[in-house]
Order: sequence, then structure tokens, then C-alpha cells
Amino acid sequence: MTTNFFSAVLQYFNAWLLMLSTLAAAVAAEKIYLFAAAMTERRLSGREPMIRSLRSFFRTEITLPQGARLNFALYCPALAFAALMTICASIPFCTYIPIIDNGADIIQIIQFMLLSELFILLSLCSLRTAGAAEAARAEIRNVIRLLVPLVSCCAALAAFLMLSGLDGDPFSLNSFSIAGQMTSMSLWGFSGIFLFVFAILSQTPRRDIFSGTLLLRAGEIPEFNGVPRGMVQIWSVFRSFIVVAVVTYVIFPSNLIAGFNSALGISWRGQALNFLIFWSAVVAMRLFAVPFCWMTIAAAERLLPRPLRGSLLYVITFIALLLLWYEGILFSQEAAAF
Amino acid sequence: MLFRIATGFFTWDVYKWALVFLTAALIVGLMVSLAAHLRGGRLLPLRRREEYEESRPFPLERLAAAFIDNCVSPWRDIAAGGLLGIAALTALFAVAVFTG
Repeated sequence: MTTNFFSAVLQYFNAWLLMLSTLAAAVAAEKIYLFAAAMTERRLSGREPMIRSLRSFFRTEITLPQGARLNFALYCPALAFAALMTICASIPFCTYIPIIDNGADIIQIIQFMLLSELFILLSLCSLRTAGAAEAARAEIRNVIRLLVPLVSCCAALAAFLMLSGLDGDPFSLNSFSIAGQMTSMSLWGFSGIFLFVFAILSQTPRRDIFSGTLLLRAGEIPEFNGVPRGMVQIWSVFRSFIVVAVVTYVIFPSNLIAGFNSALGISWRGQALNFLIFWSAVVAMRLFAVPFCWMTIAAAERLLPRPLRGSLLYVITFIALLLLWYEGILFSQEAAAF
Repeated sequence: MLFRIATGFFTWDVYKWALVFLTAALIVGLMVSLAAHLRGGRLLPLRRREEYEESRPFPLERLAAAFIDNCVSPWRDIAAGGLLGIAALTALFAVAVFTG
């Protein structure tokens, strides 16, 4: 019994360590992006960009706007961050020992994300300034624009998986991989998936391209400073990194990596290598694919008349849905012919 | 049972979810509380960051100086640092030998 207790504690300790290492990867990727964005801004506009390192928030005194609700403003970011950790604990590729064993159901993961969003919106609204209200409105708009393609993608893929005869939970993240259940898809299906990936990555929440995935721009709500502001910024970075990780998992060639690992023999070495390669791929997606998608959709929206610019995302989502629906029809025809 | 809510697709282990949520909330909330009530509003002290920001303009140099200042220098300052280093190397050697 003592051995079981110690092995359980060690197992969960390793899981927490892995979750914290993914947090470190998220912060490191964001720092690299902000550095590159600052250099670009300096070259384009000639002015010195207002960069502030994430660690500096923890060295600054806590200040809150006058009239802010004290406990909400101080502790809601902590609750939002805790809700994000429950998402990490559900995702198997985050810990390899999913603490919350719910089969990595994507709908439940989105529910946890909404809970996390709720706490952040509470913390912004509790500041009771015009700047905070504007930031909250922007955050709601960004989340809705992220959730529309994300939920549509999950629903379309789940429908395809049910059609292909999957037993069990069609919304499980374990099934959402082009290297797994979806290898039988034709070009139509893959086009739909990549269009969805583009739509989701292009809506990775941002305020502007030079602020990256930080929730608050430099100089915004200056009277809100210190540890709570740092928590809000790190929450935003981590939340976006998890979204990118989920999307990367869908298109990650895990069967190739599994074949490479089989030569290593010892399973923990294979798992460690898997972990490193996967999260390196996520960092690469964050640094290259996400800004590319941001810039591409911004350039495409500029070609449209101003009233129609916001609807481009919904058009892309609809086209991707149609492609996956057509893939489902082709699959049914093949099954009927057989 | 109350602590395991089963839907048509997945089972939600509320107990484990609450454990993870409350543990993380407690740790992060304690950090905020520590900064607010005990350390005059700052979680980390103002170290010699301003000095090496002025003297070393390149980010890689600042990173290297920060690493040396935070991770290497404290070991140099401990009186028994040399003995601890030898003990750490011995432990690593023992681990390498016994794990083959």
C-alpha cells in the first residue's frame, strides 16, 4: 500500500512537471515571437517598441485602478489559470498520464476553456475602467471568432468519424488525428481539415500583430499592474498555446514518429522523444504558422469592402464544412458500393 | 454517483477535476497573496536586472548574464559549494552505474 501511494504521488508529480514544462514552452515561444515582432516594428516604423518582459510583472508592485473590486481583480486571474491547468490535465499528449481521465473529450475541454474565459472576463470587469471594459469586449469578440471554426471543425470531424464506424466517443481528441482514424480520407477531406486549421489558427486570439497573444497591449490599463496583470498575460499566452497544440495534434504525423520510436526499445525513452518532438512542432506552429495565418487573413479581409470583412471567417468555415460533408458523401458511396 | 457524471459520450470525474482545479488555484492564489500581503506588492525582488540591462544590450547576453546570476552564482557563494558539487557528481555516477 505504501508503494502504491508513493508511485501514485510520483506519477502525478511527473504529470505536473510535464504540464509546467508545456507552460514554459508557451512562454518561451511567446518571448521569441515578441522579440521578432519588436525588431520588425522598429524596422518598419523606426520607433522604439514598448516591450515588457513577462517576468517584469512579477517584479512590479501590484496596483489596481481606483474603484476596482479588490478580491476579484486579485484572484480571478488565478482561478482562470487553474481552469487552464484542468485542460492540460485532460489532454493525454500534455502529460502522458491524463490525471482527469475523460478520454480527452474536446467538448468538455471547450467547456473548461469557457470557464477559464469567464474568470478572466470577471477579473477585467472588476477593474471598472473604460479601458478594461474595452479589453473585455475585445476578448469576447475574439473568443466567439475562435470558437465558431473550432466547434464547427470538431462537429464535422465527429460526424465523419461516426460515419466511418468509430466505436466510443467521436469527440475524443485521441480520434482527431489525420494519422489515425482519418487516413482513409480523400483530398476533399484533407482540404477541409487544412482549411479548418487555417481558420482556427487565424483566429488565435490577438489584440494586434505586434502584441502577439497577450491579452493586454503595452500601455493599456496602466493602473493595473503587478502579479495579477502578469497572470492575465501568461494566461492568454498559455490559452492560445493550448489551442495551437490541439490543432497541431490533428495534423501531426504521429504514425511516422511511432515508427521511428520503435527502434528505441525502452518505452519511456520513446515517450520522452515523442513529447519533445510534438511540443517542438507546437512551438514551430506558434512561431511560423500562426503569424502567417494572421497576416494572410488580414490581407484577404483588406480586399473586401469594410462591412463584409468580418464575415470572411464564416465563409471559410462554411466552405470547410461543405468539403468535409462531401467527404462524408464519398465515404458513404464507397461503403454502399462495397 | 455524484463524483462521476456520465454523459452519452464521456465520463467526467468531478473529484479529480476539482482536485486539479483547487490545487492549481491554491498555489497560484498563494503566490498572489504572498506578493500582495507579505512582499510589499512584488513577488520577485528587484535584483541586479537594471545593471545588466544597461551594460549588455543584446538579448542573448542578457539571458546568459541572468542565467549565471540566478543559477550559477548562488552555488559559488555557498561555503560548501565544492563539496556539494562532488556529492552531486557522485550521485549521478551511482545512478548511471545502477541503471546500466
